[in-house]
Amino acid sequence: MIHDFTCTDVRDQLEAFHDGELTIHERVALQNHLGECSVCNHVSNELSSIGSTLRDLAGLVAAEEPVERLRISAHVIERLRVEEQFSIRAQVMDWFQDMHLVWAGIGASVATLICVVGSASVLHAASQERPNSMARVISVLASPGSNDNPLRLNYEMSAPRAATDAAIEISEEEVEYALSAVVSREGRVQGVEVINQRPTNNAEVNAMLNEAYRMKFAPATARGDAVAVSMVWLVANTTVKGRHDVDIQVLRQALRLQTTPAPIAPLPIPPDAVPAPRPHAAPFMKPVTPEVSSSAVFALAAGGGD
Amino acid sequence: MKDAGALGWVEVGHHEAALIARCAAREPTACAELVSGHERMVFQLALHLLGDRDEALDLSQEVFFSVFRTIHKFRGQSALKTWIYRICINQARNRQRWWRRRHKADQVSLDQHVEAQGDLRQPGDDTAPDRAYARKQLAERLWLALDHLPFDQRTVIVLREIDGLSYEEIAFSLGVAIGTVKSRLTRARQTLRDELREVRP
Repeated sequence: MIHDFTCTDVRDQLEAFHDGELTIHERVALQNHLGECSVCNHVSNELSSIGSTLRDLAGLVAAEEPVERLRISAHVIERLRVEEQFSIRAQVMDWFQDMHLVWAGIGASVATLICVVGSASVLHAASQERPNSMARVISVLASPGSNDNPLRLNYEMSAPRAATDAAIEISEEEVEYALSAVVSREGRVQGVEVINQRPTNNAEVNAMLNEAYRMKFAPATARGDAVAVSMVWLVANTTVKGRHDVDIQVLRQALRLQTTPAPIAPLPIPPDAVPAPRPHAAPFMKPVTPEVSSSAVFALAAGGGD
Repeated sequence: MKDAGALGWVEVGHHEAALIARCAAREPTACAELVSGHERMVFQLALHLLGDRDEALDLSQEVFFSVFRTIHKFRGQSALKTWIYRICINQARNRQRWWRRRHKADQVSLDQHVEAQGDLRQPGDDTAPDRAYARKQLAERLWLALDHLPFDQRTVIVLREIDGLSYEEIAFSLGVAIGTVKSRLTRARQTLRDELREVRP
């Protein structure tokens, strides 16, 4: 490829041309232009003369100062040898030549020591187990199945079984509670909470929770090891209606038959009898039958009569 | 942009690699060989950059100490020569900062060398006395102008015109991009050319 250079191009490339940084095609094209254009040729000659004059000068200076006479090599080798010999000792001597450095060094050592002690104490304080410390959180997370990090039950585990009679006494009727709880590795119940509703009867619920805490379980096991697991515990108090109800009716009937009170109306006066003074509440106070069981009924009747 | 530091051990050559390995092991003959092989180059560059013989001699020794101290870090990222140039330039740059400040007044100008020599070696058949005088005048002016150039421009023009390094080698020696080398060269040449035009309008 032959370049067709204008004078501007040539001026831009002239230095690279002189420095031998152009491709062969560019060189040829540029030389062609220099042959034709006297202005560019003049600029080129100026550049050449700078270079040649500088080289002349350098040659002159070099002739003035024969390097061989300077014995640089001998000096360098000698000093290297000496340095090698005395390097460590010289360095140590240098350190102690200026006592400022020694004091600074001692100061730095003391400061470092204080820093180390300080950071060690901080680390020591940090490693003590506090429930909200990072170390504690990490150790809890690192040990699934511990009492603080209970597992969810899955099919690979055996579920915890109640060791004691798992009945909780509830006086309230017709009520269901869902409790969330953790069964620990030792089989104890922890962290029981009512989760299905807001407890309305606090005393009742507290009593139930106390019962729940007293329960004892055989802990859940996973691959033979006891693990803490979360569980949901349903407590329901259900009234079963059946023959029991009928018995009470029969019993009441029987009781009523036994304890029927005397009629409340005035007794018929026998014709031969002297009219007696009118009694006040005497018939009600006088038990008709001496049985104790009827007294309650009487008292009830008396209360109702008033 | 072309990276100036991307050459390999191939560039260095087997003999040089072996020499470097022996120098790293502090073998005295190898060290002597390395120094004697490069002392002329280093001393002349130092002389051109600093313009003082004693200073240049001192700098040359320092350069070789620095070379031996760091030669175990040399991984053939350039030719050994270019690497030594780089060390030399860095040290000269550090030195000329304070040296220029302190000794500016009694600095010996190198045109004394020219005067002492009396005449310049003439290229070709140019032997007429008046032409010779003109060339001497020119050389003196040019040397002064070179001496007054900023350090970076002086370094670039010396490496290019006297030591004959390529742009890439100069870029590595100075630790700059090739574009920077080109622009510094242009500026240095502009200054020197103005100087030339004053001498022979």
